[in-house]
Amino acid sequence: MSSPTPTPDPASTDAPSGASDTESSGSGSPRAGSPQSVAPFSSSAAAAPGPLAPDALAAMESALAAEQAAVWAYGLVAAYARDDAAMITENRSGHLLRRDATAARLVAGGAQPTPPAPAYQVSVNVVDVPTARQLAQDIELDAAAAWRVVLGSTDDPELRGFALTGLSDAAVRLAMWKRVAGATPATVPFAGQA
Amino acid sequence: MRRRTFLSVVGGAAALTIASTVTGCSLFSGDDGAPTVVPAPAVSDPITGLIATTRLHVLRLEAAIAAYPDQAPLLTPLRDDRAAQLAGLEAEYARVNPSATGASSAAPTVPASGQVAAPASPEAAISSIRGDAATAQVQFTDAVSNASRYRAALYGSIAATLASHRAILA
Repeated sequence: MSSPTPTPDPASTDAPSGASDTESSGSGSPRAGSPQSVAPFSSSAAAAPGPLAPDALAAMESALAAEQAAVWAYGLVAAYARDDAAMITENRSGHLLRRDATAARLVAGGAQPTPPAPAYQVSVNVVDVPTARQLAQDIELDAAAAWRVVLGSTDDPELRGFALTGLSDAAVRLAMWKRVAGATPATVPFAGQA
Repeated sequence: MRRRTFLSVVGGAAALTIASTVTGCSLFSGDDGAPTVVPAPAVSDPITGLIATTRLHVLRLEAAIAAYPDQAPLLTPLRDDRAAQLAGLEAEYARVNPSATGASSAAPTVPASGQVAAPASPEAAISSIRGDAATAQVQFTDAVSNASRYRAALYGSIAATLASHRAILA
């Protein structure tokens, strides 16, 4: 998940060229059921996802990898943070939905999604509740970072909306895990930014 | 009599010139050099609305923290987030509008507290701040669609943080 962070461009106030060609849509965007979610843009009209440009394709593949890793890693979190079972189930379901929707979006964009790995190397050695909660935070940090890169890699409003949902869901989950773990501050000023 | 007529003609022309200058159009613009077509004011950068909203919300958080210190542990981190967002937005405005940075940099990055009345109770303050977060989240989400890539990532990142603020305050 070492995708490049979007950098400023000279004409940053301009609307992207061709942006109006694609209407915004929430179709295909899994909603985690978070009451904090806001429907991206005006999604009154559905639009078919278009082909993915190279930048967006690379970012989406990274995001898919982050979601696949999240689904796997929450299994490890569940083994140690048993008091957090409900939260883990909800979060894992959210990542599962998003993983599948991301793969479907890649297929619709003309790409072949990479299947999940059988196992992943995690950032912390999970041995107890605190380390399990730390891993959960790292999962959400990775997911948020990946979706932020997608957001900054495309001019397509539909794909931006899709990415923003993933970024917001990860930011909310991260805050909840930090609060459960007693970490302060529980939020960050710029979600998904290193 | 002839002189009086001449003066009245000159006076009428002067009045016409003054009137036409005020209204912006003149039959004699080529003669007196007064500009009849002036450049339209530059379209304002849409980020200014987001900056204004964020600045107001920082003020409200400051007021709530000052009025209800027992809520400070909850609200101070949120205030710090919003202040950092305000600084980031102002920096982005200054980057894109280097000629207009005077007005922007003249505004304090983090406003002084006490300029906004705090709600009547701690519960009302929390509710108000939660409402502010929801309002701002919608604003930043809407701004994502037509922004440049860099700004889309910036706005989306802030919108996601605001979603987490709402979760913390729920």
